[in-house]
Amino acid sequence: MKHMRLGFGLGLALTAALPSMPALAKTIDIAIGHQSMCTDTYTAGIVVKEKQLLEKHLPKDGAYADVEYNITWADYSSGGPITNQMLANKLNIGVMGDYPLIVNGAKFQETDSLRTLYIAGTGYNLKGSGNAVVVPAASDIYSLDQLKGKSVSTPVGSAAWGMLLKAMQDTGITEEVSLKNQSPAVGAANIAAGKIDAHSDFCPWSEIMEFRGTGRKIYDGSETGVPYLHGVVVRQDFAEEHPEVVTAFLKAVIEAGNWIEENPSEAVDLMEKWTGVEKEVLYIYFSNGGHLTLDPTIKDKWVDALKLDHTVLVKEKAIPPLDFDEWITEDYIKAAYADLGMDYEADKAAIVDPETANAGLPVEIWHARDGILQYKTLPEFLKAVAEFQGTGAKLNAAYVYDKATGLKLFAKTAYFVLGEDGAYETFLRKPDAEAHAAEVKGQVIDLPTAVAAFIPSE
Amino acid sequence: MAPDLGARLSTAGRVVRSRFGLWLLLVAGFTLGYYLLLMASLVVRFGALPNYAIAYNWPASVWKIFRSTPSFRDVPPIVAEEYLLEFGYMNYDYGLGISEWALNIIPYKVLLVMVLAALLAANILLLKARTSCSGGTRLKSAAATGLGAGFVALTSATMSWVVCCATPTWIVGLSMLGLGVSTAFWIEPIGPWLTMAGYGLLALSTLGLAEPAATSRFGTGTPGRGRKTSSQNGVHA
Repeated sequence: MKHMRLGFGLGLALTAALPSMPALAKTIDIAIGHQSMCTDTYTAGIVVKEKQLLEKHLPKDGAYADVEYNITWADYSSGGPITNQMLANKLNIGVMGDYPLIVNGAKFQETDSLRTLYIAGTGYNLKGSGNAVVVPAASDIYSLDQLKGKSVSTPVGSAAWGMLLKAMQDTGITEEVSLKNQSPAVGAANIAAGKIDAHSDFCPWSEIMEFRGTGRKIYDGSETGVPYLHGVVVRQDFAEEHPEVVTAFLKAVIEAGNWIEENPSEAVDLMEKWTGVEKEVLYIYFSNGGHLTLDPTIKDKWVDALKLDHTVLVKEKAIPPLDFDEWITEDYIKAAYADLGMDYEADKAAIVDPETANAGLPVEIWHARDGILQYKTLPEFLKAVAEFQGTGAKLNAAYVYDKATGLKLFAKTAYFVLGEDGAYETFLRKPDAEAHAAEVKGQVIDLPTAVAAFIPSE
Repeated sequence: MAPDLGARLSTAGRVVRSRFGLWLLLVAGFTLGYYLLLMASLVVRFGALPNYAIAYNWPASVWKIFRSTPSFRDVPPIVAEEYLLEFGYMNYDYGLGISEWALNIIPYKVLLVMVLAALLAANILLLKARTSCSGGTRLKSAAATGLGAGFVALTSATMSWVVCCATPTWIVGLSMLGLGVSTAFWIEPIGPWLTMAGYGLLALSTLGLAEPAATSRFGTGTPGRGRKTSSQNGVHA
C-alpha cells in the first residue's frame, strides 16, 4: 500500500512537471537528390538549396515546434541513381526528367512494400524542346533523315534517348542508324572532336555545345510534339509521415520558380556560379521566351505524355507496369498553392505554347558591359550587332527566335532568311529556312553575312 | 546417385582441405584479379586513370534499408545494389564535373565473385589432384569450368559507363566491347540465367572432377584391395 502511494505520488509529480519540461527534440532527416547539370530540375534543386528556400518554408510550430531538420542534398548527373538511393531510403525526395520519373514509379511499384508519389512538376516545354540532336559544327548533316547509316550516341535511358527513339521511328530510320550509348560529357567531347556523327542529349547539353561552337542542332525535341517535363517524386512513407514537410518543399519550388521569372538575369548569373553551366546557356532556358516554362502543376496533358513515355520504355527496356492513378497525386501541390494563397486551377489550366507566346518578342543581345539589350526587329538587331562589332564591344551572346516553333535560339547558330522584300526571318533548322526562302524568293544566310549588310560603308 | 554425390562432395572437400592454404590464396587472388582486370579494361578502353574514389558506409546503409523497408522480401534486391567503394573518372569540362565511368565495388557482387573464385580454385586443385576421372572427363570439366567462370565473370561486372540514368550493369562490359545498345538491352534480362548457368557448369565440373580416387595422397584405399571406386560401381562423371 505504501508502494502504491509512492507510485501514485511520483506519477502525479511527473504529470505536473511534464508541461514545464523541455520536450526531447525530434530530428527529421530530409534528403533530396537533384541534378545540377539538368536545367529543368533547378527549381526543385539547386535554387531551393542555394537560396535555402526549404528552410524558409519548413513548419516550425504545432507538432513541429521542437523538431530539428537535417537537410542534405545530393547532386547526381542522372535520375537513375536517385531512384536507387530512394529505394535504399537514403533520399526521400528526388527530382528528375520524364523517362527517369516513370522508371522511378515503376521500380517502386515492383516492390511489395515501397512506393513513391509523383507530387509536382518543375518545368516543361509543351512541344518537347530541351532534348535535341546535335552534329559537329562542321558537319554536312542538316536533318534527321541524313543520319541513315551514321552513328548516333545518346545517354540510354534518358529523356533524350526516348525522344531520339520516337524521332527515329517517326522518320523511319530506326534500323539504319547505329545507336551508341554515351554519357552527356562523352557525347559532347566526341561532338567537339568530330568523333561521332551525331549526339542526342537533354537540356542544356545541346545549347552548351552550340554556345561553345562545337555543335549544331539538327533536330529539336519540339518536332516530336510530345511535352518534355520534369518533376518531383517523394517516398510515400515519408510523405505520409511528414505531409507538411512535403508541402513546404513544394512551396519552396514555387518560390524558386517565381524568383527566376522575376529576376532572370540575376538568376542565371547565380545559377552559373552554383552549377558551372554558362549563364548565356541558362538564359536560353530561363528568360522570357526561354525554352522552359516553370510550372509545378500536374496537367492532364502531362499525365498523357508520361503514359506515352511508359509505352516506349516498356517496349525498349521491359520496365514494370506503372499504375498512374496510384502514383500521381495533386494533394501536396494543391496544399502548397493554398498555403501561398495562389490559384492552382488557374495555373493548371494555363499552357504556354512558344509558337504563340513568343511571337513578337524582342530579339536580344547580351552586352558584356550593358547587360541584356532588346530590339523589336531583326534589322535593328543586325544593325546593332554591326555597330558593336565595329567598336570591338564584347557580346556574350545574341538571341533570336525560330519562326517555325517560336523557340529561342543563339543567333550565331540560326539560319537567317533574307526575303525579296528585304524582310528577315530566323530559323532553327536549315530545311525550314530553305522552304521559307523558296516561298519568299529569298536566300538563306548566316549571321555574319546578315550583319555584313549593316556594316556602315566609308 | 545420392551416395555417389556424397562421395564426390567428400572427395572435393578432401582435395580442398589438403591444399587449403593454396585454395584460399587462389580464391583471394581470383577475386582481386577480377576487379583489377575490370579496372584495367576501363583504363585501357577510356585511356585515363581514375581521378576520384568514394568509400560508402555499407553496413550503415544496409541497416537503414533493413529498418525502413516494411517487407523483408524487398530488402535483398535493394541491399544487392549498395556500394562499398567507387573508383572512377570525373570529367570537369562541364559544370561541376560528370562521372564518365566508374568501377563500383558492390559487396553482394563481390560475394558472387568469391563463390565463383571458390569453385574455380576447387576445380583447379581437383584437376591437379590424382582423382580417378578419365582424361576425357577432365577435358570436358576443364572446358565447362572455363565456360561457367566466363558466364559468371561476365554477368558479375559492376562497371558504370553511361552516366545518364545508368547504374552498374553487366551489359556495360558488352557495350565497351562494341555490342550495340539495343542488343545489349535485349540480352540484359538473361543475365541472372547466365549467372545460374555459369554456377551450374562450375558445380557440375567440380562433381565431375571429384571422382573418388583409387590412390591418392588424400585418399586411403587402392583399387583391387577391397575398396570400390565409383568407376567400378558403374558411375562415371
